[in-house]
Amino acid sequence: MVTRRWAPARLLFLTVLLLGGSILAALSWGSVAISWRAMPTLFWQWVSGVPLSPPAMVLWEIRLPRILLAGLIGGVLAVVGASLQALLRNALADPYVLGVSSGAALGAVVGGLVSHSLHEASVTLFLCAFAGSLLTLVLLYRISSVHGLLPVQTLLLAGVVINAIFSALVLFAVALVEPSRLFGLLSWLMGSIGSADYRIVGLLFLYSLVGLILLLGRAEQLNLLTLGDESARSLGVEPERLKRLIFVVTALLTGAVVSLSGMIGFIGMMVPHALRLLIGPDHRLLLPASAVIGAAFLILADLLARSLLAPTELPVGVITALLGGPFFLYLLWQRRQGAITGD
Amino acid sequence: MPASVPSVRWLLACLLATGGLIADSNQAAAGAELQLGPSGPITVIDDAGRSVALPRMARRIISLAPSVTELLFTLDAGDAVVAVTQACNYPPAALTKPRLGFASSAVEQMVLLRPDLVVGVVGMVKPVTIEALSRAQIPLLLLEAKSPGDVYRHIRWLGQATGRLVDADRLITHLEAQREALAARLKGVEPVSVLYVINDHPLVTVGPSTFIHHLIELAGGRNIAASATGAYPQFSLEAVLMADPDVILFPGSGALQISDTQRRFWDRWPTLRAVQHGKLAVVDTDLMDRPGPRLFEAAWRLAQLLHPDRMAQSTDGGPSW
Amino acid sequence: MTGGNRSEFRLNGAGYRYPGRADWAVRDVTLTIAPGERIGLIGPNGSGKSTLLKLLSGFLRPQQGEVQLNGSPVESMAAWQLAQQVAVVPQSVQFIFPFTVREIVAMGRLPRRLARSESWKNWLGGLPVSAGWSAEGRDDRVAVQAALADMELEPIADRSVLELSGGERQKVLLARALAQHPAILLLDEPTAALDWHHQSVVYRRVRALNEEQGATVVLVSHDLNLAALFARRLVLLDGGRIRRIGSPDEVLTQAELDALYAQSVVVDRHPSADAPRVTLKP
Repeated sequence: MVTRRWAPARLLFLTVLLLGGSILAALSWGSVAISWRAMPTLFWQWVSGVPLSPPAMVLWEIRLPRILLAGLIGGVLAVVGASLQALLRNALADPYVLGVSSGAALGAVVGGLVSHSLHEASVTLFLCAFAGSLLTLVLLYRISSVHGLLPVQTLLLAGVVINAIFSALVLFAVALVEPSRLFGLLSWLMGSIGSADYRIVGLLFLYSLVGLILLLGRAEQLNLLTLGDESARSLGVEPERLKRLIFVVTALLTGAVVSLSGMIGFIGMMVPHALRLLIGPDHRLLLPASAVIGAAFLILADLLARSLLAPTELPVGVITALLGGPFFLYLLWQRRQGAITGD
Repeated sequence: MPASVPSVRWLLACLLATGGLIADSNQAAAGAELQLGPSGPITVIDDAGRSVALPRMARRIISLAPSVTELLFTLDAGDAVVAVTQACNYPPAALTKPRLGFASSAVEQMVLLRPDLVVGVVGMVKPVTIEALSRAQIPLLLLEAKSPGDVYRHIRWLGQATGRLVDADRLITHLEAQREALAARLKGVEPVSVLYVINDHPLVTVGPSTFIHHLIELAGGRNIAASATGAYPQFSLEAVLMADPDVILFPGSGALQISDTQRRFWDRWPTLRAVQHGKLAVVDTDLMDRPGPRLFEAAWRLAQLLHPDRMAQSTDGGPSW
Repeated sequence: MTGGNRSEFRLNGAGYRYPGRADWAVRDVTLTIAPGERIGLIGPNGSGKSTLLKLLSGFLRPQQGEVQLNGSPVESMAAWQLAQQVAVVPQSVQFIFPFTVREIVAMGRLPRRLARSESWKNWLGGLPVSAGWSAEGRDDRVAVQAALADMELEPIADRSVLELSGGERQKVLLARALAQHPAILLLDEPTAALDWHHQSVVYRRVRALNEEQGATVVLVSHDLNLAALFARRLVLLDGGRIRRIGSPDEVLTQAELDALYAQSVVVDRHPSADAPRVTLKP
């Protein structure tokens, strides 16, 4: 039986369409609908420096930065997820499996106990969370390194342990935080893209660009890594060096994203996994496709988060979980019908 | 006359007493009351749906909320109060009362104080505490105020529990007078749209089922989140921009001023009427967040913020005790 | 592929001990493998055959002595440099993701492309930007097709490797090594799961590689007969040390095998080839 896969051209067309469509939809919908016809005029308003009308304000100062941030975060999470699935040789891995995110959460909550200016968009929260993720990265490395090697099973196990311990500590710390500061903290913990501005988007973009280039540029090496250390080496890839690189880059990217927007789950696992079923496991296609689809997915999820119960906003992490689960079940079911052996 | 036939006078006395008691119970706003007779405890269904046996004449009361403390003192039952929370700062006499610690140590303190009544707010008392008090057979009354009518009910309950029914009635009459005065002042006024910011990031405001929402309406305002779901909904900034409230209020205590970071954040949205006209104000949470005897004082202060011209007409009818 | 293979392996007292183990897997191995040789590494289970092969492939670094390829220590060579000359067919591979057979074989072409990007990097002053995002070229496709044809894999070329039997997988791994056009081919039990026909195909192909293109072939096998048929020189290992080196006739004697295999086999002559034959005693 020939493996059915989408041709790259079809894939390209569809992903671009999806991303473009989701951006347009997210610009237009929300707590207030802004028609597409009105957008060009509003765009001129923005560019020409005239004082903005409320719809223009909403569009260019609230929605667009938020869409850009959501797209960036979604894309990064998906690429990180795909890379970790290759590193850990497990199609169910996600950016949070190694515990870097719990470290960020712990950092955030400890910061919440200590600082007074802690809220969802504060620099303090970000720094505390990021520090937490960095410390976790170091801890993970220390625990998992054996004779200078990074065995994948040890890494996974260490991640599970760290997740368990840190999650418990997070709950403990949350119980101690003053109720008045809980709003910001809980919203962050559940994952939200609330306060986005162009500066944050720009910074995150530059920061992530380095990591993304490093990962995408090694797509073929990732292919080899999935065959095992011995095969990889015989084909010219230093497995230890590559594993270290993936580990560090993904941890740094995850740390930054989680510190900014909390734990937005499911994208990192589901997007690459579903795409792999559709377009195959070649990372040269999978990584870029994951980036684009991950972006579109989070943009749409965020759109739902702010429109479903408008004017109330839901945490986007809730939406990703609700959207992702059933869709994934559907995909698995479809594949089961045609599969000869399970994967 | 045969001894077995009750005298008419005696019968009349009973009828009057019963009638008086029935009339009393008819005045209760919400919450069923079952009178078990002049000597036994009254059982009420509190705002958490629990059946609570109120003591007739409580002499040792623990208050778990500032609003409750204020009510008890206003009912002249301050002497019966044996402990309050850290946040109870009004009236000044409350500051002399022993303060409860946090969490489990509070429960132990409570039990050791042997109160005959504990009064708290729905949702603010942990299940473990409720459990512990129930096991210690200490009556716990849970209150939830969403409107002035609820506060009147609470006044009545506390009046009964402390044997201060007369003071309770007087207080209610007084509060009603205040309410009428305020309503008269604001008669025919165009409501001012208000955004009440409980939390900046994420933006959380008050929903239609909250006490603050009702206060805003009493003060001649209109909560822009009146159609939101939930008591404390996370509101989208978009919706704020489109609703364009006339006034934005922030809760605060101490120095009632907006912080620089807050100002910088809101200055990013110059299309907002409230920002253009500088209608960003801090209101005292000690006043706003307490469904107690000062509720109309809070509404009055709020009205002064929302309708300064209307409220500045004369100095009469202001809050008085 | 080098026409005129001059790649020579030299081991000097090489030894390796797995971390945390008291005993040495390989010890005091001194051996020279000349270019174009067909050499077999044989011995009982646990005698160090696979470990020795991993020392040759550079996957393991010797803790004792040296392993040299053309005079330079293998451990000082970068993986991509080594991969230009040496191809490995490992004992087993666990496939996790549904790559097609064609894709796996095509991975054998990566070392050449990596070499190109390495030279790019030197030119760009060593920027570690990309070392593995390239498209296949025409010669890559030709090489892949040839390898698939050689190993009779064309009918299943577009099947997912997850669906293959053990034998089919081994053929895929060999095809991948062939596509690499190596000067040296290291094989670790390449026919363990294959039936007679496919074993024959494998050995014929590998022999052709050696005879026609001059590639060196080092074969690890516990199957003494096939080693005897295929290799011109045999290295008999016991407890990590070399017990005997020589031609199949010299090494596969009754005396040696009795000592090593506890008198469980009988050695006689192959009926149609000039090689010893080893059979299990009833």
